[in-house]
Amino acid sequence: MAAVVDVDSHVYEPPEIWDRYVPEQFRALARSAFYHEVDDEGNRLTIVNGAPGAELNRSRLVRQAIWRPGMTVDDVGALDPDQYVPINPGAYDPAARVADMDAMGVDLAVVFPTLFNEYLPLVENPEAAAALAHGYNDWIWDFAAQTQGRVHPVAILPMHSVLLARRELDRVAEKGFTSVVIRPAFYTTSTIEGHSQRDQMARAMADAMRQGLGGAEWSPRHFVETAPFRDVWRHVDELGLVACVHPSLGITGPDAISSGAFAERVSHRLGVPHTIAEPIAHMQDADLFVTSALFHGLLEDFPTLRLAIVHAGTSWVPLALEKSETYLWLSPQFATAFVCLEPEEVWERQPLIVSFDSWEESVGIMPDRLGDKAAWGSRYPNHDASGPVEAREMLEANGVDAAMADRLLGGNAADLFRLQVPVG
Amino acid sequence: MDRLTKSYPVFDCDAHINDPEQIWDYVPESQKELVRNTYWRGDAEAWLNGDTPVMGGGNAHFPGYNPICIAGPQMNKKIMRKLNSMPLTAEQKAYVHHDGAIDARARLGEMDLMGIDQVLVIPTMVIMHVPFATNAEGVDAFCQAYNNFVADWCSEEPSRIFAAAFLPAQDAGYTAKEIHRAAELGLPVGLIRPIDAQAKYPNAAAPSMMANGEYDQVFRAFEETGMVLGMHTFPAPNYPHPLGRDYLASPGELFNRAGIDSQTFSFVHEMQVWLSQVLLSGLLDRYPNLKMAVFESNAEWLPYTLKTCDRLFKLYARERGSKGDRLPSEAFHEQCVISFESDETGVFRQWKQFQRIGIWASDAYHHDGADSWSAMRNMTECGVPDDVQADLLGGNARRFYGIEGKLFVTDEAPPIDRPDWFPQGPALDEWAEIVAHPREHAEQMREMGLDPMSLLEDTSGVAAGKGLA
Repeated sequence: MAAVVDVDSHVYEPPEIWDRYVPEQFRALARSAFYHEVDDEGNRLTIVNGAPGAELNRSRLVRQAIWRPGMTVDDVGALDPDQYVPINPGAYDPAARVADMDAMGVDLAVVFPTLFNEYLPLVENPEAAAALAHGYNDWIWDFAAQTQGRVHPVAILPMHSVLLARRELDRVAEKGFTSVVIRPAFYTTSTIEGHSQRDQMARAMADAMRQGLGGAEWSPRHFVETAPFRDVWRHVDELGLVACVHPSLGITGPDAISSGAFAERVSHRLGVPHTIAEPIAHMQDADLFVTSALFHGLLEDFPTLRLAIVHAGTSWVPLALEKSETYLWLSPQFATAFVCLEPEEVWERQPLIVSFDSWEESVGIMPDRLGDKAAWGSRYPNHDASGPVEAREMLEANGVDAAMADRLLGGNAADLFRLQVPVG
Repeated sequence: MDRLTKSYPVFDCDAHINDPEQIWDYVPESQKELVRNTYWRGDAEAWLNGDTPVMGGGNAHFPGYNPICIAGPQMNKKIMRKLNSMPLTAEQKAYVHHDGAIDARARLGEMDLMGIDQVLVIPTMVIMHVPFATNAEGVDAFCQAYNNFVADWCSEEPSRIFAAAFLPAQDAGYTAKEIHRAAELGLPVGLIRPIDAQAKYPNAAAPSMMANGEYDQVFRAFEETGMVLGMHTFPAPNYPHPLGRDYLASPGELFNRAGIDSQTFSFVHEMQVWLSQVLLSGLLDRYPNLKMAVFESNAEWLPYTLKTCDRLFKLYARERGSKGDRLPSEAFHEQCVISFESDETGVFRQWKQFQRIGIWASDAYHHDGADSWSAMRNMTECGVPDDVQADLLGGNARRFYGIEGKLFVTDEAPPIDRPDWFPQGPALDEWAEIVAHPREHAEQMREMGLDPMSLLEDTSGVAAGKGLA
């Protein structure tokens, strides 16, 4: 059996990042812009922009770091929501992490932030965001260094400023990172007005839509795939890094940042006692990113850019390609770049993967359609995590052959990330 | 290509009319001014709340063809793209306009060509604008007029044409009343759009911190009448939200703000938000006799979403409000159906998961619409058994609506004899190959006047309007 690569796992960021890793001169600023801590009884402190921040959880359970190898969904469901369950040490301690990976049967894990992915886009001060990213990146680098090459660290970028994002890109590439995470969200960022045909058309279209569809003013945020950020994507490509597009639940900010907030807000009227954004938010943000990239020509502009789209499942991909194709053909006024009207061709030739979940049966039913670009991810230590055994069983139950299962459980990811997989 | 035949009736569960101007003739004289100040349209203009000009779907809004009335028999996206690049004469515009969007008699002929035996019709720009009308009394009067109109419209051929009622969702009391009245008119479905127009998302079934539970009477009215709750989504608007510019009425607005045609995913995302709430809140357990149809939101995403909801149902076993033990996927299969379109091969590949809940829709005459013959071809290619095709293409919808099936069309029509100017044949294919790969054919694109800047000049004035069909 080939090596297993978990392409979507997480840490739960400890206070040590703020106390030791954020550059000293920025610590007070950074802590005021965003800070999070949980005490031994589950009491939480979350600060965003100098004020109490919204929480990801409503009960005492910290569901983003609760799962441990061997737990079933029923085990998690049986936990008392009024009783604090300590955070899984594997979420912040390298030795515990490796032990959990051994227990799961995972040879190598690509590791993403949890809190920083959720909260960093909310930070208003670009310099504080850059200091926070710097702190996280140095901490996860040291974390990975203590795992005998089993953890592949991914650096986060301060997308609040193209200048600062590029500067951090250079720094982490120099340090040795080969992957960065970019959340598909809207960021407040400084912009430079372009004068190319494409820029002029994009502005004209935006004005036409804003006026023609009801006239509301938009908040000064820009989607991370659009023109203001083009230099960041270019630089990721130039440096030869993998761009990991990782959505977050997105329920702690306003609607205009990412998809989860709208669902969460309107569901309050129905009185649902827990988040309802979870089954859809990540998928919707991934839809938005891919559709935006196809309409704006990101993949055609950077055909060597390596992309990993994670934590959103992969079932949405064929529909995203099909919908993009339909409206690229039917709505020429939106094609503000010379873009291919057959997105499937663009998709197929781009070096990219999309993570899938163990319970995502469509991958097993349609391996010919999804298998070349799919790569398994655990979501460890989120409460909905699963192990590779469950994924392999699902694939086998649907008749996927062993060679394809090996590709899905590790091979595709190892190729994209160019991983040297240690086989235990 | 061999012409197909069929031996079962096809029911098109979601096709559209283009909100004929006769609707407003059904408004009683005493309410005409009220409705005029709520939502009104002519061919060249439309008004919301009496003071906001909007795109109402009339032909005069479009310099070229009307995308709301274009996708009829034997049309496809290549033809439409080509037509989009051509200056059309009045005669040519009339030729590509499908009158069945307005006229019931014309509709029957077009249904014959599209392999559609029976249809449920749904309005168009009404769904876009009316949720944002501020006078609930005016909306109620408009909805009554619309429902009276459409009931009469169906009488042209009552065994073939059925219609969904449009409901005044701004006010739950008016909505509950109109459900009962529309059911009496014989309309099998009542439409609600799941958006946060005017910060009143239509979900407050029980009192909570955020709402007074007024929608309980609406869901009960659906149960009492047996009318199907039809959730119908639409492209994203851009009306101001009461909470400010960081807040949205539709999740599809993020696509507008990213500079993308929201038609790509606004439909899907609006429905996903609705459905995740319905499934994780236990709403279907609270209303066990409620029947819900999920319209125009595609279906390929459903199996994964149901699986994920089932997991979350268990993961939140001690936090969720619903204490029942029926899984979300079970509730959906027992009380819901979902529409799919002819090109959804992912649905066909996973047909076992849709064979009792999938209902086919043409979406005619909106520009992404398609006929039943193309659905049959795609299903056959994906290995969907014939009996399952019959259920997906009609049996499931008829069972759900309680409508008797009648077969009117058995043979696919031969190719329509088109005028010379109409895009067709090898010339169209060659042209389409060039425009589909513009970077490989940049010089030819410019020679043909199809560089992006010339497209912009042609269409910027109506760009937003074209994004609405």
